[in-house]
Amino acid sequence: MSVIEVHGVHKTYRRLRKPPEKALDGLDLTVDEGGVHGFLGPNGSGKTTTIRILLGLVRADSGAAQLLGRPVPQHLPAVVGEVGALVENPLFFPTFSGRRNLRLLAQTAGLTRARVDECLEAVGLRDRADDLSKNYSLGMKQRLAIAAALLKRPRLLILDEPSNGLDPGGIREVRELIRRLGSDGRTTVFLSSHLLAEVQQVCDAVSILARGRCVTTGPVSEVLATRATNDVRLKVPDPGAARDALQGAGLQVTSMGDAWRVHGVADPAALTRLLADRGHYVTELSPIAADLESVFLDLTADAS
Amino acid sequence: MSHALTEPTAAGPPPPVGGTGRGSLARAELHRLTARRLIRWLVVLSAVGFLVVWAISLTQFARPSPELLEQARQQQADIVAEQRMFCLEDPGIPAAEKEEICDLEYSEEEFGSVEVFLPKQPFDAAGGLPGGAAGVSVAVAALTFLIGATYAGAEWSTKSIVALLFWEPRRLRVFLTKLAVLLGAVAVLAALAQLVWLGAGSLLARLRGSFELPNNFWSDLAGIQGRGVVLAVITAALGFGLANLIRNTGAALGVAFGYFVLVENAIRAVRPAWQPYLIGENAAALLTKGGIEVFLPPPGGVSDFGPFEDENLLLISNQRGALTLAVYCLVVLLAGAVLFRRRDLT
Repeated sequence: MSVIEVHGVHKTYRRLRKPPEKALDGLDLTVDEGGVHGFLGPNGSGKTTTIRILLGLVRADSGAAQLLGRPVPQHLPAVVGEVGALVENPLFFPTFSGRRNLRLLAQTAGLTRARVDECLEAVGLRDRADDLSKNYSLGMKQRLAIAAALLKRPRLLILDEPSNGLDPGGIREVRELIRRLGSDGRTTVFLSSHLLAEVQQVCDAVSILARGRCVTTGPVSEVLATRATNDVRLKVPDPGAARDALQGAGLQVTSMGDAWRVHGVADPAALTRLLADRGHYVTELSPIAADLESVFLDLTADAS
Repeated sequence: MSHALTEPTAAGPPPPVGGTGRGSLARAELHRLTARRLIRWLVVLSAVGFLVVWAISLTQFARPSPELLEQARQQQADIVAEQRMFCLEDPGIPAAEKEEICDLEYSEEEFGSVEVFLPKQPFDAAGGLPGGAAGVSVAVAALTFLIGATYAGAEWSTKSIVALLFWEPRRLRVFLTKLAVLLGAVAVLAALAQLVWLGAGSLLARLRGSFELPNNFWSDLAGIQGRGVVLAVITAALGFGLANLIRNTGAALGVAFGYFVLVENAIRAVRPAWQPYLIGENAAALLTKGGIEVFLPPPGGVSDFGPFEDENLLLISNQRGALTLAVYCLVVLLAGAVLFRRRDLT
């Protein structure tokens, strides 16, 4: 079952005295239930607009969107109780304490005070819960927003840049929380982030947006495989002579600092034989796997 | 972050889907309204201001002793006699008519009541309580406008309205619940203010004046106070609607200030025929017993110093004042509700 489905969604922002700004250009997106789904794209690619359309904050010009199998925004009230969200900057009353801000939200949905305390505890804010939220650091505000998103025990948790403002320790803890939620068998986490390494570490699947369209989607391993190369990293005691030998055999070689990158090596064993025949003994030979960053940059560059 | 983030354990039944409905949203909104620091400060400062004015009133009014009353009567009689003597010596008045004219112009009635000649006047409940109730109504109406504007404006400036919509996405329901909570709360506040005035004014009359009441006094007073509560509710709704339209408390207050100071005065000076449509006139008509009369220039023009003809006076009754204000209020609220329902929240 899909928890998010978006088909052919267009959105153009029209503002006074400014040219129209096309945010989504026929976006198609499907997020299957369970696990963590990364949502990537450069600034202005339409990630936040997509999330706002799903949450009923922005009206699409055309196309259709579904959350937990129900069309939105028409049936959003029926599913919103199972969707937790953190969208960009945390939005709280600065002159209310963190606890009071959460209690007001919990009261709206008929949740208990105990649940508020549980969530404050979960994000490590219990000791500072009675401080005014205007006195919180950005990281603390972000944690408060995560606590608000968790209040409903959501089936779908939408997180837009949850690591904003967090220190490295906080980023790691959020990552672990996301991983844990994604593997609990109940929660699907839809994670929009700029931290590509983080997405690669925690996500089971990923969708990449560019200029308002989804340029690739699927399990992380499959997305990486689409840009897989047969390049290898090579280290030898005499790099210069080894490079000449490889180039003499018709291979393309580029520098990686203290090693060579040999392109298009279909058979690494043949490479070691070639070098050994010329008196070069390999000290390191490893395949270069595509990482999400390079895939992201390739795809978004292609799209633009 | 030193604390390990852990997903809270699911103790107890899962939470209700989409909340438990209007009841819980209304309670949360009432909580949000009454917990706002600025609103609390405004109410506390208003209460302190009222107490200060009341305490000053205690020093400004006094119940006269028989001796002071006698002195005032004597002073009044002396002034009347003196003025009458000047009148009788005036060569410009024909001798045959002097007695008649001077008796008519220089009587004790013409010089006002004897209280005018007292060093401190008594607080007369018959006139003071209704007058004070009208004053309290105007002050409370200004306060509730401010409360309505800041209640809506703060939601926009902090964008906490967006966070709320993650929980209750039915925007019209959010708008109407907020409005209902605001209007209910300010109605209670305004009614309490009128009750406090009734108590404080009555005490003032007992301590520093008289409590002789004419027929129908209580019904008339209740009418003024009730209409004062209606005015407070209307101005709160106007403040709320305006701040929702402009999405900013300060700008809403600026618009209100500009309207009352510039627009209304300009209209009175340049287009006096439009006066029956001004908020100020209609608010005064709502508060004043029987409404107010405004002078309208005749279609063919008017002399600045010409006599006011009856046909040039238009009565704005209590009902007409209330209806006009209610129409303005509805227009502002409807525009705000439609925009709130349709606009993108980015």
